[in-house]
Amino acid sequence: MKTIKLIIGILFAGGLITSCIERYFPGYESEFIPQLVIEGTISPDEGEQEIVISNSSSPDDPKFIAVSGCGVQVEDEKGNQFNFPESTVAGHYRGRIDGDKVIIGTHYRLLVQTPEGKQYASSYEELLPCPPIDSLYFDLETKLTSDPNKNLNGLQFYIDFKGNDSYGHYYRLEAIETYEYHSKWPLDKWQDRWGGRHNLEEPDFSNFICYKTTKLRNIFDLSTDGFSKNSYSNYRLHFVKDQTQQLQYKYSLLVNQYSLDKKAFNYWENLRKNNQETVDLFGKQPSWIKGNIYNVNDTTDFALGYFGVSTVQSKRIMVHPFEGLSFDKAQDCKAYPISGKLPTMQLLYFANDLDENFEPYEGIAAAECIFCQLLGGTTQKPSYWDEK
Amino acid sequence: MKLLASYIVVFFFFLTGLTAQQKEEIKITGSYQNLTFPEFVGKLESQYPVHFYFEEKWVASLAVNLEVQQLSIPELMEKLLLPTSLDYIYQAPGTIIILPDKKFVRQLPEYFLTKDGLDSTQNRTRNLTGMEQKYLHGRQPDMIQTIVVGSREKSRKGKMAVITGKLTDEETGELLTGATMYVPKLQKGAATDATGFFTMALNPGIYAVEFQYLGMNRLKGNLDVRSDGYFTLSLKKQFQQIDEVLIQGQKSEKHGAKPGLENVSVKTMKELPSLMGEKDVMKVAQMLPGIVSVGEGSAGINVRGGNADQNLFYINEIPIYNSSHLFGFFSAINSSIIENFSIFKGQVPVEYGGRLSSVFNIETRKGHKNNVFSQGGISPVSANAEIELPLVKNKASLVVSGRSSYSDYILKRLKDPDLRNSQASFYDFTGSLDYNINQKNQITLFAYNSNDNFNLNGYTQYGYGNKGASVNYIHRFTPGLKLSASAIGSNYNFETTDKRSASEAYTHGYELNHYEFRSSLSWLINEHHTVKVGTEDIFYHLKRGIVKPFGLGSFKTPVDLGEENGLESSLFLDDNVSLGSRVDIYAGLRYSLFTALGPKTVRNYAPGTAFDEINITGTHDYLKGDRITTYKNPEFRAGLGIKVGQNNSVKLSMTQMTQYLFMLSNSISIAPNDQWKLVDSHITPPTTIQYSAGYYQEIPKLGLSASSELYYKQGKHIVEYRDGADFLGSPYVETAVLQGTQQAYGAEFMLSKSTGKFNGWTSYTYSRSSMTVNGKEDWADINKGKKYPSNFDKPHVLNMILNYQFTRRFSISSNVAYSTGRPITIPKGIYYVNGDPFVDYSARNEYRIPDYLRVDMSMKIEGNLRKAKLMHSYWTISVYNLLGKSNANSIFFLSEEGGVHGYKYSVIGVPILTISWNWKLGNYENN
Repeated sequence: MKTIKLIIGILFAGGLITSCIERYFPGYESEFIPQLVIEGTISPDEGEQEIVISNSSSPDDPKFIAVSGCGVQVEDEKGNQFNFPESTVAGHYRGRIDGDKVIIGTHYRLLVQTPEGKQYASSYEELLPCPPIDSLYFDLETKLTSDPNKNLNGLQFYIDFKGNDSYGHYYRLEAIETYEYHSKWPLDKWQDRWGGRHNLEEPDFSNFICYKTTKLRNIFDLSTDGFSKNSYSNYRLHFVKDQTQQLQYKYSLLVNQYSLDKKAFNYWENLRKNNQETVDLFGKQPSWIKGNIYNVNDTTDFALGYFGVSTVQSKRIMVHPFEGLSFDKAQDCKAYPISGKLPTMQLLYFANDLDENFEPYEGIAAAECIFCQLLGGTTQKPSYWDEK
Repeated sequence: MKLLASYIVVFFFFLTGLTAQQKEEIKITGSYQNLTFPEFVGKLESQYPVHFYFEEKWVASLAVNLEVQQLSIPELMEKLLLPTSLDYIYQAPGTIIILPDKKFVRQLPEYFLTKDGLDSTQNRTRNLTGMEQKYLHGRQPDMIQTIVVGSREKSRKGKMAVITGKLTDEETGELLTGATMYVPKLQKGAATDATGFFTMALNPGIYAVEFQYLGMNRLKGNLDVRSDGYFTLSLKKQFQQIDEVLIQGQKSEKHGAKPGLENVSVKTMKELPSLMGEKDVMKVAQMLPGIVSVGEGSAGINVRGGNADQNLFYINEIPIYNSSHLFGFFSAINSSIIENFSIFKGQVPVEYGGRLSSVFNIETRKGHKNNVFSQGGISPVSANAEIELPLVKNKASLVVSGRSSYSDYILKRLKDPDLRNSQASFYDFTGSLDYNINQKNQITLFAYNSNDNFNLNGYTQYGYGNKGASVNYIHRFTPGLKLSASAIGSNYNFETTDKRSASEAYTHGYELNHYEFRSSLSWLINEHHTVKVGTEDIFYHLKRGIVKPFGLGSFKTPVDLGEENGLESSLFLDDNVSLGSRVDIYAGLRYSLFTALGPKTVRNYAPGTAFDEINITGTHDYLKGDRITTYKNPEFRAGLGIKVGQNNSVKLSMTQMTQYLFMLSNSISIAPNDQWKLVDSHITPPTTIQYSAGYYQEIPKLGLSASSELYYKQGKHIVEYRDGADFLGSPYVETAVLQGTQQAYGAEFMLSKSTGKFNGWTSYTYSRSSMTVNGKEDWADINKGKKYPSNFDKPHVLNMILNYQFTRRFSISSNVAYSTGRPITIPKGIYYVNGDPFVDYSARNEYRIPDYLRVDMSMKIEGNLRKAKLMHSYWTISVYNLLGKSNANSIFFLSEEGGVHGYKYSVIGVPILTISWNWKLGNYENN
């Protein structure tokens, strides 16, 4: 990707064009044939686990197409079978491995029978140990932007991994972020659908503070294969810029670290390369990613997806407002000045705002500026939120 | 006026540097009474070394009665012909040509010139206009000179004489490559090779011949062949440049028997529009049929459906292992020093081997041998200069050239933060010494060095370079027996440092050393039979390098990729036989032998299993010099050329090729850190067989040549890579490699017009190229064992080059390039893992990126045409991608924000205007 930019730069002596990468919508001519997808990474010692079975969808209309009615079992090398019946969510099969059967080094495989009677099985996967995450931390970093006079500040998150010889070399990290954000205004004055005006004596702050939790879509996979010690320093996770509310009040990052074997690492690495890397100038061929689940009666018929077995280690970090970050553009709510007659039979919220001369005025506020849940969060404070 | 007069005299008499058989002036003394003219001639020829040419009927009435004392031949002829209407031409030392009429206009009357209204600077050196020339020509028989080769004493009765001619530029003394001599009566011709010589067998006798070279006046003459011998002839620059031939070698190609041979002229290269003003021979090559690249600005080209590593690039016999600068945007060879550029893509002569698809043979300028010459140019990206110094007049010259980029200043001005902190630069240098000791001995030394460096925002650094030197010695035992011997050394190296992550930071240096000795003996046995025999020995020494940790924070353990040694020896023999004047047969054998040599540790794997770590049954350590494995491959080459009529011919050929080293690459185009690797005990040498057939038609009236060629090629053991192959993790490449079958076929059509103000060519190619990797076991398959199109499979390619010269100072050129988009793998479906959508890429190369279309234009403005000037310059204004079309280089898909989005990446999406300036010493015509 960098090489592309370099070339574009040299060729255009700057600024002539903004980008040479643009959206593209291919027309599909070939007929789409759905493929069976079986996937799930189970962590046997973590209680209820999930296997998800679906069909792939046409690239024209990407959607999750659940496959219901499958028989799903996880089997260990000794032949102990654990049922994973379909849950209330279609295509999601849940089950548990009995605690006394969870032993590091045990091999597990997945057995699936589709409603059509096809039998699929995964290869045996070993439950590998996972060391605790050594440290999860961040640095205040400044990123240059295309405007030479303007830089972007934010926090870059990292982990340090430290294993020893009893641990493997391959890991996958899952990052889940939670942050607190606020509406611009509490609920104060509004006009209901029937034209009735309401004016609270005490503004209602119950919808004012929200918490939003998102699993990051990035695939973070880490390998210490070929390293002189089983360690990795400064493994880069994601960057969170300021100028949004994400870091303004409190930010929390939970990292789950899953142990993988080499085959599983290759699967995730190829998935990442195929889907999350832009091409570079030299171009690369996206690869067909072979999973580990195949039709027992036809070993050339592989299901998409991967059955993984892993132990998991987690670490959470709480980030408080940080000096050096700026939030002056974090809130973009503005009350619309009222001009002329208001519609009578419409739900409207009113709020006090300041104009360019810092003179107060009353205007119409968007609902998202009053009810923080409308931006995807919940007012339910996470249990760990007040931890340091 | 005096100048003009002398020019006209020169023009008429074509007294162009005849050097053979120069002797003292002949003086005639004797009494010749009551003789007919033929009797007089017979007598004179027996007494003196003179030769007369005449028609009997002109002299039928002439009686000779002369008493002469110490008369020079002109004096004698004046005296003899005074009372007649006959005239004569005398060429020293002893050739006299009788002309039937004294009324030939040899010179235009003066008033004709004073009224022409030309500016004063041109008046002095004014050349004849086309009309004037026609006028003069119309009133003259063909003025001819006679070249005497050999001597009557040495002639062997009934045997053919083998003549070797050297053709040079009269003004500069440069040897001409690709200049031709044609004998119309025999419909035979020969072209000079890179050393400026040609050889031909003829029965003793006198032949009317024509000499021709790009940008030179066509020279007609008589060749008086008496016995084996040498001659040197100098050709004169053409003054009306509009008649220049655009594609040189067409004529000789017609008479040879090599389907799939392309020549690119330097002139074409200079006139064509170019990207950023960088003239580029590789880009011009891509306008020829059968030669494509995967995309704009990609390194590597694909010839007739072959991979990019199947082409061999030679610059004066030095193999170049990375032929591009700046990731492939420009070629690593400074175009201004190229003298001749030919591409063998169909029938490859047996002296070449080692690559499956093609041989690109670049010969650089041999240098002016009479005077100092220098030229250079400046473009927005780089500057180049060349100087040619005669060391021994007419015999030896030194040529030094250099080119360097200065693109960093552009980067500093950019908005993109990564680029503001990046650097990219390249340079290349050449030096050559060419010494024509005498007609029998010639020696050439050549050295080349090119280098590239990129630093991407301090976290990835690439550097690579080619260096090489060659010495070539040619000895002619007799005119028909030539020995050529060369010693060549070449080195390709690169270094990559990746610092993106401190823990994984590494640096890797790679080096390929190539030492070669080649010799050949060519023997022109007779008119119908030429034999060439030779050997080529190459010793490869690859230091694949150690991938080392970089910086204190790196946890990488060093991985030694090891060293490889290999010896490639070839013996070749070819035989060209002509059956009558219409049929040429070519048969050749190249027998190549490759031995992989120790020291090396080789793994053994359980038979029938994948080359994976789990299947290792043991290892074997070979010591230095131990033979690890040997491959032998006879490569047969054969060709048949049939002249159907005066202007058309049919050619058929079959060519087998073998390749003993290949490139480890898992990207679509060549990356600067792709390693070359030798075949070994687990990876067998790839081979191909190609059949081709061509039909060639000349339409002399219109100045058109048309050709069509068909080919079918099949490659075995072509190296492909397993998905996600890593070439830095282990020295055991076999774990990342699979071998399959490549199939390519196509039809190439080309129509070219090489003369006149309006010239150019258009070519259309339909071709297909596909791979099948279908092993006995699942693990040996790619694309589930099914056939898939190669990355560069572009069925339809249409290229057009048009050139119009308005005046000698102003011309425009345009080219149009259209091709079907290259194949890509696109989503077959979308599936969800862990709640996120991902793309299923299951069918390899099933879709294509949008078709490619580009139109470029350029304008060349020459400086004034004054003859006496120190320096001449010209400006080239180019618009690359005139239509501003953003042609896709690739299409890719990203899983982001809960959806899968397609993106098109195009390298160039706007028209790019560039102005470049080029200069040279001397006037417009100096070259």
